[in-house]
Amino acid sequence: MFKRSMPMLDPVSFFFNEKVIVANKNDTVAAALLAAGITTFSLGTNEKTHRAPVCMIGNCFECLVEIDGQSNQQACLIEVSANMNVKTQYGLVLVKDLLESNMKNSKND
Amino acid sequence: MIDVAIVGAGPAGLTVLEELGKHNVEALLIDEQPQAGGQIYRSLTKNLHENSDLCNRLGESYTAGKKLVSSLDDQTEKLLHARIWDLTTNLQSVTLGLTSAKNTQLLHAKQVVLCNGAMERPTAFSGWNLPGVMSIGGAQTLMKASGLVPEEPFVVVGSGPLVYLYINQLLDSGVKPTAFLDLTQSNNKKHYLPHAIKALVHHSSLIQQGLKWQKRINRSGIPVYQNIQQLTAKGEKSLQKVSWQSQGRYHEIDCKLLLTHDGIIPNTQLAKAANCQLHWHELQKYWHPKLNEYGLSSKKNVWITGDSGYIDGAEGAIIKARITAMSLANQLGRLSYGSWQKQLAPLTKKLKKMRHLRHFLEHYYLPSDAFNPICNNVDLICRCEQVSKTQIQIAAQEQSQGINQVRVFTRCGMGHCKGYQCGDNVGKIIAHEQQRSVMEVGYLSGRLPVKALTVGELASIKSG
Repeated sequence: MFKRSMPMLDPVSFFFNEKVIVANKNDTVAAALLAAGITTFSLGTNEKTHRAPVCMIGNCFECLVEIDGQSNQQACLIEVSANMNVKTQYGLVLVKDLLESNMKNSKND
Repeated sequence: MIDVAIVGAGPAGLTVLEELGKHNVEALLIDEQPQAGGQIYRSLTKNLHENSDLCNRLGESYTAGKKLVSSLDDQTEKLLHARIWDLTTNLQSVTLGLTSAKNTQLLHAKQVVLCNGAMERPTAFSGWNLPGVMSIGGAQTLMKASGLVPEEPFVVVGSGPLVYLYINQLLDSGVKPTAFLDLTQSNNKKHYLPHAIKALVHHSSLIQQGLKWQKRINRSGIPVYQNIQQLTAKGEKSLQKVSWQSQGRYHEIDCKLLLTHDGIIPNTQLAKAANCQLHWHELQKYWHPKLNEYGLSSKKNVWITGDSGYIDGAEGAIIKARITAMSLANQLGRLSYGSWQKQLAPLTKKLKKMRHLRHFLEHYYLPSDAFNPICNNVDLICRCEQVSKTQIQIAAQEQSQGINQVRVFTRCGMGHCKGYQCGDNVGKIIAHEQQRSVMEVGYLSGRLPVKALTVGELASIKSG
């Protein structure tokens, strides 16, 4: 979708779904992912909905991702840092999975 | 307790800080971004230093902020990269709930000045929720902050000065939209013409600048389409195709990026959180806080200035911010009535002159029907909670409810964005269904927290 019009002067590498992505220092996570061609940042409450940034200024909340284990992070407001661990956020799908696995575990107990 | 908390470090916030400093009022500047400048001067300090090529491509309207952003030095008391999730008021003070890299805290101030600026009007149309459909302001932010430009092929759709400016910035970067769908929709000529004449008399250089941008687009060979209907974004997991009708003919383009814009509106999330009264702007279709001529809201200690009060653009925001700061200094007893009035007069005159251009823009670039859920075939209205237009229509018809009840019944506006994307559209749909005015239907009331915070962050607040 987007390409860089300037060379990366200060490259920083981080992970997106375990894949290495190289960005420029001071890039927001959202800018870094868009420049790397990532189109799905999260899946919405209904599993079929793919979501990606719209406003880039912190209002739309379409850019939510999981960063270093913390969900609901606004990718457009957080700058990349070396070895940051970013993941697609699975909306309510994850909650449903968690509930199911919890139920399985409690049955096993 | 500090005297004044200023929210937002754009043109208005920086001006308020500077002006209050002149009158020895203690103020703390707070912003969500790591650097001051707001969205208009985003990353300007860094770019002036490192990327002169990018500054040239972004043009004079961007580098004009140099003096303003450099007014903020290392000694200035400020809190950048801080997320505000609460704003409450009582008779004596205001309390801001905020989280920064350092901690989560409740900050008490005697007065607050909201300078949190404008945002783009959400553009609802069929397929608007697909990844790859993005706002022009968002794309411009990517260019300012990271030097990112769109990959061809891509389509631009919208109207207003920002669209022309952005396409010009792209042309300067050697990038050309595959198509430009011009949505310019003007008020009746007899309404805008008097304003056009006044704007030309008082702001001929700005009008000429706009015409120059348009001329360059026309000469660049970008295919321009008008009278757009049935605008549709198609794709499964992300955008693959854009289609529309123009002068009765069907067009489609395969592309992965569609950039949209439908004008800018005040960001009222914090004003709503503080329960400030809002007014509906019938011509430009937006809610703006009810303010007196100095920027004081319906709450005695909440001042709102710049574009978050009323859309006036960066230059207007600076004038209004000075008026607000002086009035606040006068109220705090730091500026005598006489010198306040004396300094106010030329500013009021200047603002009146600025508004000649604003009134013309307001009449010439109306919000487009192509993005109005009443006029188009959009399905999804609330993206966070996946609420459709039909669900809202049914709720509005069957129970003849108010907007906040429709929220409770359908969950529209209950997601992360707190109705930023759907709120105004929900109001329009209800008004249409119930044959009432949007002003009468009202707006989604503010709900706290304004932004998500973790239980851990909340629990870490030190009392006192």
